[in-house]
Amino acid sequence: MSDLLSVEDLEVSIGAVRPVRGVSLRVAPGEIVGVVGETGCGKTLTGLAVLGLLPPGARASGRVVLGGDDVLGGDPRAVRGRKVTMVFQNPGTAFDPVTTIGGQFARVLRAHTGCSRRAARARAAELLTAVELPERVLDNYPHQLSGGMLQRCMIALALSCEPSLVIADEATTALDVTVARQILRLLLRLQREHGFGVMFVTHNLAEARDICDRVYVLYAGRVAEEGMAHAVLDRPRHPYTRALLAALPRLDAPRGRLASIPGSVSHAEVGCSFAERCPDAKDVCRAETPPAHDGVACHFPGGAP
Amino acid sequence: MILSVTGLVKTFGSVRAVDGVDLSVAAGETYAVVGESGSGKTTLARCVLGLIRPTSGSVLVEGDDTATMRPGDLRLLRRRVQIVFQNPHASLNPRMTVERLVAEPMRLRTGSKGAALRDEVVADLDRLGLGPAHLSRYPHELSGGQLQRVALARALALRPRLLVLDEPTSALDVSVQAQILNLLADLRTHDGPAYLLISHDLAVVRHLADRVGVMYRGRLVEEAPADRLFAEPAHDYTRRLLDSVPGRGRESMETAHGVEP
Amino acid sequence: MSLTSLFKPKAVALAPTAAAPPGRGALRALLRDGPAVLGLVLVGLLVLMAALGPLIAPFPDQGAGAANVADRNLAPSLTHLLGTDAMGRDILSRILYGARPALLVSVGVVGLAVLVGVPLGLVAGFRGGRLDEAIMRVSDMFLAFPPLLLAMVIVSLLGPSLWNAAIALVVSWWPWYARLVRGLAVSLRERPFVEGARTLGLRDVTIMRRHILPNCSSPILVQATTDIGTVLLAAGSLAFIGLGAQPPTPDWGLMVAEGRTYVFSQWWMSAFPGAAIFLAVLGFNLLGDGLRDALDPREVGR
Repeated sequence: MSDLLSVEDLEVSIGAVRPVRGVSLRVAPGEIVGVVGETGCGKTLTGLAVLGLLPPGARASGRVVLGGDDVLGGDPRAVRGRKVTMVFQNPGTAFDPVTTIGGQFARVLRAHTGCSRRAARARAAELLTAVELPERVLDNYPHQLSGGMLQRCMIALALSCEPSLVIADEATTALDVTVARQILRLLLRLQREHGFGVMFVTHNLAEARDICDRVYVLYAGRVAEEGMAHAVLDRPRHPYTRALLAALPRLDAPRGRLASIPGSVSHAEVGCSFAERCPDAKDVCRAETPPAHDGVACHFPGGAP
Repeated sequence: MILSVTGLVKTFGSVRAVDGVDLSVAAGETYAVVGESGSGKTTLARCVLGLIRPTSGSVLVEGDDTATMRPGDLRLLRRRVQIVFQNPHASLNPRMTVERLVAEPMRLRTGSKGAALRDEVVADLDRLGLGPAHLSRYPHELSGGQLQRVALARALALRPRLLVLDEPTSALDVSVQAQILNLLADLRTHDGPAYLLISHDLAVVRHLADRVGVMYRGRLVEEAPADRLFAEPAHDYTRRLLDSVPGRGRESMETAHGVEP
Repeated sequence: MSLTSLFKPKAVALAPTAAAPPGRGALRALLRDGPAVLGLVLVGLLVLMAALGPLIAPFPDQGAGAANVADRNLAPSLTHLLGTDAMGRDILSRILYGARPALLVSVGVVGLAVLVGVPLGLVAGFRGGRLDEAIMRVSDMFLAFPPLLLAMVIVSLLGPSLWNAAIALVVSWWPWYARLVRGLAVSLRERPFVEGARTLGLRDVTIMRRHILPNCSSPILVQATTDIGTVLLAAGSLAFIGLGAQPPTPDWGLMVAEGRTYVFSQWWMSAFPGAAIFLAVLGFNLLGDGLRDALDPREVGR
């Protein structure tokens, strides 16, 4: 099956800084793919590059192909909205505070389809039903709704243009645990019904484990490890993934010291970016950038010999 | 008891944000208040800190009632209860250096000046894993983890009897969160303060708390030692919270627990 | 622009910064901003004129006000670069002599307005409640009074002079600072770092001085810079209508007024002092705008 999204060797630079340094990933139709990592790993910029929404001053190179169209080379406006939509972290700021939810749906729907006001309202009600919200929400203003309800509205808006790819950037981070859970379940159900692909950008390994088919773990602008979600997160092979999982407090583990990762992120040009913090680092790790082999960018996957 | 809260009610207009809460925290204990937004846990914390006056009920710090105190005494009492906020970027005055930030409360306790004060600041920062090179830095020059250490140093400089931890790690990355949680565990051992941990992250609560109170719509719906609460949750809401903790794989998504109360 | 609108600070949208102290980065940003540099140059020139004016004026006695009937109404020439007025005084010397009172009055008025308005605004915003109500109602009262009318009342009580005009301006100006700072203090009051300071058991005065005021300083500085220009214009306007500086004080507004009857024949009498006012106001406005951009918290610390 051909890829819905294919990113090859994406680099993004902002001035002298290169936050994304050669990320390759793909999303098959109907697949949920996690892009996980900590602050500054380049996950959000990767998502924005796919949308053609990089901030001013950022330059991207590499290839981003979405449903056969080259995003970086072509016109991003043709791609955005029609095939790919984004669900943001903070639904509170994504909506216009002085327009009703219905008004905002009508604006989007009529711009996309040119349908009548009445048809737009009927379609909006349908979309709200799909995200388990009552029709009366259309007459509400954003401030009258809870964070979870707004996130549902945002998902409904994302659905309105029948996307083939939905990028969810920290879509549950601002929500309470029980609400976050409901949103994840909703996303999973809609994905099954509509068959779109999902690029799930998150810092939350546990959520990625629950919802993703495959995951990419990003570190310092590169893919450290990729593979099936349960494989990567249950049997991590890259030392960074291992350290990250060991640092996570767990409900089922005994209380004790958590393993923390020493030092801070380096963007070394030569060698493995994680070498300075890695317990198993050898000379070769500091000298040569490890190539991705079998989904792991590490000279000694699975531990030093 | 370091802290005894009895029949605490706080209303804003017609909203009962805290609706009759009783809880107590013993010396050296970590008590976690778990709840979601709107549960009243933040209002509870603000009452404990004396930032707002309860509508009724009492907050006793080492037996002293904050409600009946004169403002001057209340100011002194407050120094026995300190707080570390969720977002260290917002909780430290951006116009002050690390040294001034920690020296400000330190001087209130020790009365030192000049070099002696500086030495005390350096010693406390060192205990929290920050070297003297950080003294002249401004908050925007530090990482989230470093800032949270400064916030801890500032709160602990007064040697409080109770430290309120308001989502202390939820703005931090996982690897940094681990450092801060370890640090909090270490500080508990040597004659440190009792903790009142306010959190919605059950894994963090499980890791740190001795006892847990589950707050829902202004009330404590369940209170139990941590081990028992996580093993045998008694209240429906507690069970729903536990079911919402992510990380058990796709299969856990299928079981239909997502029913609204 | 109506005369009344001259008596209001130019609105400069400002938020509390709560950012790092502006350091070299802000200065660099300011110096990269073309219009701001022009503003800096103009303000610098004005300061130089105020400092050295009496020393470099070609005809110091005329600058100070001495009439020289022999040379009345002379057009600009090599002797009198900007011409002479109806009393035969060298206009260049008059303008140079006028720079100092113009600058002193506008800086003084804004300075006093800041001294009165900022503490009141701080207390109102931080304490809230009835005190806030009281301070704000009083300042509303001052704002509701037409400033021109206020100036006329004060001037008719105290007599027309530059200093009485300045008093009138301070009286109608401080409420703007009280309002500005109150708004900033209200939004800072709930910030965690201020609540944290309260849990340290600090006195309110200490919290206001140490934690609130420093985070209001950038907006105050920006507003004050812009206001110096506006006050300069307002003081000139008061002089123009006879409520400010009195002859023979070398005041730019007064000079424009004195020259206005000759504006079609001896245009230089009004035009040059008018241009001086214009350039001074422009300078402070450009500098204020530049400062606002340079001190913008979004730009600092990146």
